[in-house]
Amino acid sequence: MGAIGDIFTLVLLDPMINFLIILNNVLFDSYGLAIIAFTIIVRIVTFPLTMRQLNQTRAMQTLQPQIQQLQKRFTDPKRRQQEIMKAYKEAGVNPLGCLGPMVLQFPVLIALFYAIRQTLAVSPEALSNLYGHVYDWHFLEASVPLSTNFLGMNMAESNLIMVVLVGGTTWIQTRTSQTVVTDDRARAQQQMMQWLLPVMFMFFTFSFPSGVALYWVITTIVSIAFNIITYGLPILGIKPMTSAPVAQSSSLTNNMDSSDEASTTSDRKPRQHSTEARKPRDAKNRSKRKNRRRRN
Amino acid sequence: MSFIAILVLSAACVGFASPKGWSPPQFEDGNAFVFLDEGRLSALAFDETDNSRARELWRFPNDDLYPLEDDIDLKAVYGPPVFLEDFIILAAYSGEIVAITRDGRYEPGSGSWKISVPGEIIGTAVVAGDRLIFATSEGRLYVRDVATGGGVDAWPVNGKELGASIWASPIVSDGVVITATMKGTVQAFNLETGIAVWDAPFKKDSAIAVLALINENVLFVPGLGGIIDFIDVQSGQSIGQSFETEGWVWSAPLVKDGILYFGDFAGNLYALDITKGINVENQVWPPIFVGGKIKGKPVIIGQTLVLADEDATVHFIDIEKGIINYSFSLIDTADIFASVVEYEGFAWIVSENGELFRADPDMNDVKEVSILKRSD
Repeated sequence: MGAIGDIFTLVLLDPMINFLIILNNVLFDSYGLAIIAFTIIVRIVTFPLTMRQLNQTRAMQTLQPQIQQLQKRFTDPKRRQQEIMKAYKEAGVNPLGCLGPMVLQFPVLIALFYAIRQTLAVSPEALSNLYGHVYDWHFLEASVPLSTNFLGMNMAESNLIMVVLVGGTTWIQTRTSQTVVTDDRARAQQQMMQWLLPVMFMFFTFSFPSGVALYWVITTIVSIAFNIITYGLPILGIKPMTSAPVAQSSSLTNNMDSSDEASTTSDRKPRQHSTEARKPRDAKNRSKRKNRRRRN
Repeated sequence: MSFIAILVLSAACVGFASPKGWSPPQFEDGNAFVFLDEGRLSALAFDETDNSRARELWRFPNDDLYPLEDDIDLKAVYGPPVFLEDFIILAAYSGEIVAITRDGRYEPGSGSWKISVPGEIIGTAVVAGDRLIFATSEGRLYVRDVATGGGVDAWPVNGKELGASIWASPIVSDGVVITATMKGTVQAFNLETGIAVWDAPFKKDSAIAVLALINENVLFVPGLGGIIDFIDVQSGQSIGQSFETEGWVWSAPLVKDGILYFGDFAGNLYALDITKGINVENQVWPPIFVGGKIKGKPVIIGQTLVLADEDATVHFIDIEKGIINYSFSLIDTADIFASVVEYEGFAWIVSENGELFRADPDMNDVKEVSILKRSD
């Protein structure tokens, strides 16, 4: 654990702290502007990972109706699992695919959070701790402690306005990341999270320096933007700007139709997929049938 | 994602470096005074035959027994208490300054007083004659009446605005109060009139967290950038010498027999011979690397310099040879930031949790003082 901590500090935390100090110097000695710029830069750098994760999540959600039907259709757990995995595979979705980018970007977000916390130097002890993280370059060392005043706030102390902003942005983020769910239990869970998360974050923000809260507000605003790009914003008529990687999901139908186990005529209900996506596969099946007839 | 974020945030809630204070132990009338958590002051009486044993006489504030002390929240104290004939004055991180009786009570009817100012007090309060001088992180220098805590002529009650946060303890010399800011300025004011004494403030490019007089004419001005300047007290001008250290210097130096001893955050102890004036080339011996960050001022007992680093290791250094004779690691002890103090031939060290240690340079031994706590 010590070695992991050292690597985390050396590779992520220290460079971030020093970059934050440089940004502060460049941005008119404004630590608030430095936090805003820094958060946006880090989110842009991790943008491909974030989008990959969001697209995977979206694709998973799009597949949910088909997955539910498979769950109902197959009673044998082993076979059910096989069919679900097959469906995911044919749809080009990796159920763990959204975890990879998240796992990769999470250390970065943690480091970002800690970098801001360290550079705030909320107490003499904290400033003393900062010494070990600032590179031995005079122009960096001469910059600390950073001025913590921003828009009339002392960013080393908690601030009610930031508490409200954290709650508001987290609520919007939760709303924009929600998709249509058919399952009642999932819907109830989603509604609970919509309120629980903002309240919890507000609670934490009460005991946080407002500089950390500012980071959270900015990173949440960026997340909202990413969510809108991925999921759209139906309430304002904004459509998703990216397409979910589920074009092959239509193969599910054939997959299910061809499975003879536990399959009944009554089960064969119309699937939710686009006709455009279905065409190539149907053509392929027709061709297969034609070949079979020729052989016979 | 959000759940993981909550976990991190909740973990971080606990991890913020909250102020604990680094006031050194004080000795007065045969008793020791040590700050515990949240800036509570503990008075200890030593065992008559063994000063590695003590019992607690009183603790301040103690709202369990004294309701008047209920609303006193010092948070942390960074400078030693100021002992006056009838009172002890504490200047705290919470911005509160309290004058308590010598038996550790806040009794307004008996002359105790309490004031509160915006910002945090990180340095020490200083008493000069009938005036009390202190400064705050809000960048204000206050001069108040020591008997009441009230305002005095020529000084604004709300303090003199100096434009940047003040962490260093003010210095008073020959009726002049000198203070430094975290923006790297040093300014001097006449204590009676409040008028600036120097033509212009001294300015350096890094924060000044500590300021010290090394003789009647020269100020020691270290910066967090690792450059120490020496300035003339009369004019506020550099004397043309500056000393570069490997790490930050955040402690006052020890001056003994014309030698200046100070440590830095890189773990180096320096010794500069100033018997023939300030010349940064005159190092007595090459810097001694002790391993841990040096925040506190050392002490010399006989021919041994005793120093505690942040990692709670006590070093006994031969000042003639410039070598470490012995290092003693205090296991399971909190960080040590406070200066080491000499009392009755021993070096006394306090950790940030208020654990008190007695170091014996003759025996190369360090012992934790066993304290019989009050039951309340």
